Formats: sequence, structure tokens, C-alpha cells
Amino acid sequence: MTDDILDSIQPQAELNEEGLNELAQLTQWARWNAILSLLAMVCSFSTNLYTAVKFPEAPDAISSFITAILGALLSLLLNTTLLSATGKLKTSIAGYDQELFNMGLAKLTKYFKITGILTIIALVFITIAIISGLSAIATRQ
Amino acid sequence: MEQKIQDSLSEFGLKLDDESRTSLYKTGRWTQFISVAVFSLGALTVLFIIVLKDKLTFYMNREMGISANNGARFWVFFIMILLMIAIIAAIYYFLFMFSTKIKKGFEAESTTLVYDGLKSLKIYFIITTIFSGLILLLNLMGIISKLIQ
Repeated sequence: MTDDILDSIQPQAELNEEGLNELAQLTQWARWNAILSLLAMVCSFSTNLYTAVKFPEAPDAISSFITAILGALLSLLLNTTLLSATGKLKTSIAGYDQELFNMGLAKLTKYFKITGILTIIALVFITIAIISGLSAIATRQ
Repeated sequence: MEQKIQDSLSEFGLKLDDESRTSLYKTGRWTQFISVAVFSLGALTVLFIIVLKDKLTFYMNREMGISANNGARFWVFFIMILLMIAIIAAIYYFLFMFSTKIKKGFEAESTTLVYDGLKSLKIYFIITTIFSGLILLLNLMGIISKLIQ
């Protein structure tokens, strides 16, 4: 099915000026997105680290610190992948490098694949939370 | 002369070859899944709040000390949640449009649709970049307030 759809497009369709322009702008915004997200992650992690060091006796200090580490690792994985994808795409558009262009698009696929997998994990956790919430309400009745 | 220049540029131009088309198609499938999941979750949350309205009002009154005679507060809370869901849905609408247009573009052999898809993905990244900037600003304000204390 996938192959049928992919084969139906004009083989080796050339990207014209409009396409290249759109791709260049997309790359630029995605790059800014990754940079700002990484900076936000560093700030958030620093704040959590500061709180954990300054108030170690706080009841949620350890759990919030562990959550911050997990969040930072996930953000690092996602945003470095996006940064790598945009870097490759940017260079390939500037130098008309087909191989690098394909590598950049493959990295972009990887970025959305990781996001998709994280969405699945989040959905599982949310479903568990809803079920346990509903059962808690039912138990109290 | 101009045609010759165009031809020579085409020789070095970027192409939507098999590899890049496969990558774009796979990206489209993942973005479709992500956007549909977000839409479903938003709808579920609204449904959850409507169905459990009385229970939520009761717990809000008890846990947050919200006055029982002020039912309007529940609606303020509900509208805020609804607004948040609407903003998130609007962002993910562009991701959904990207996947739809890329798929249709491949099916209809239309590079215009593929470019439209790329445009939708660009808008998605523009909005998420603005939100990332706002989150960064909030984090910086948090750090500054902690340093001042």
C-alpha cells in the first residue's frame, strides 16, 4: 500500500524555488524551536537542582528532582535529534547536497517517531490515571 | 541563456527521490498518529469533565476551599481547560494537515500539495517555537525570582 502511493508520485520530482523556500523556512523555525526548548530545559533543570540542593528536607525534593532529570533527558534526546535534522537540511539546501538532504529528512522522521513513541507512553499513563481516578471515585461512593 | 542557467541548476537541484519520499511519508504517518492521539485526548478530557461535573465541583470545594455557593467558579475552571484544549488542538491541526497533504500529494502526484504540507509543518513549528520562547521566559523569570529571594 505504502509503496503503491510512493510510486504514484512523479519519479525524481525536482524541488522548485517555492518548495526549497518553504523547506528552508521550515528548517529555520524548527531549529529555533530546538534551541529554545533546549535552553528552557537547561533553565528548568537548574531551578530544580537549586531547589533540591537548597531544600533537601522538602517532602517532594527527591521525586521532583528525578522527574526533572527524566524530563531533561527526554528533551535532550528530542531536541538534539531535531537540531541534527535541521542542521543537515540547512546545509543540504545551501549546497544542493541530495545525500545530506535525505539524511536530514530521515532524522526528521526519527524526531517524530520518538515523539510518537512518547505519546504512546503518555497515553498509557493517562489511561491508567483515568481508570484509577474513576475507581477511586466509585470506591468512595 | 536563462533556460541554460535553469537547466544547469536543475542538474544540481534537490529531488524528491525514493529515499526522501519514504522519509516524508513515514513522517506523515507519525504526525497523523500524534495529532489524532492529541485530539482524542482533548475530547476525552472534555467528556470526563462534563460527566464528572458534580464530583469535580465537590472535590474543588473540599480540597481547594472554593465556596460551594459559587458554582460559577467551576465554569471558570471548565472554560480555562476548554481554552487550553482548543489552543493545543489548533496547534496539532497543522500537524494533521501536514500528514493529510503529504499523503494526498503523493497520491495525486501533486508537488503543490506536498509544498502545502511543508507549509503546514512550518506553521506548526512557528507556533511551537513561540510557545517554547514563552516557556523559556517563564523559566528565566523563575530563576530571577529565586536569585532575588
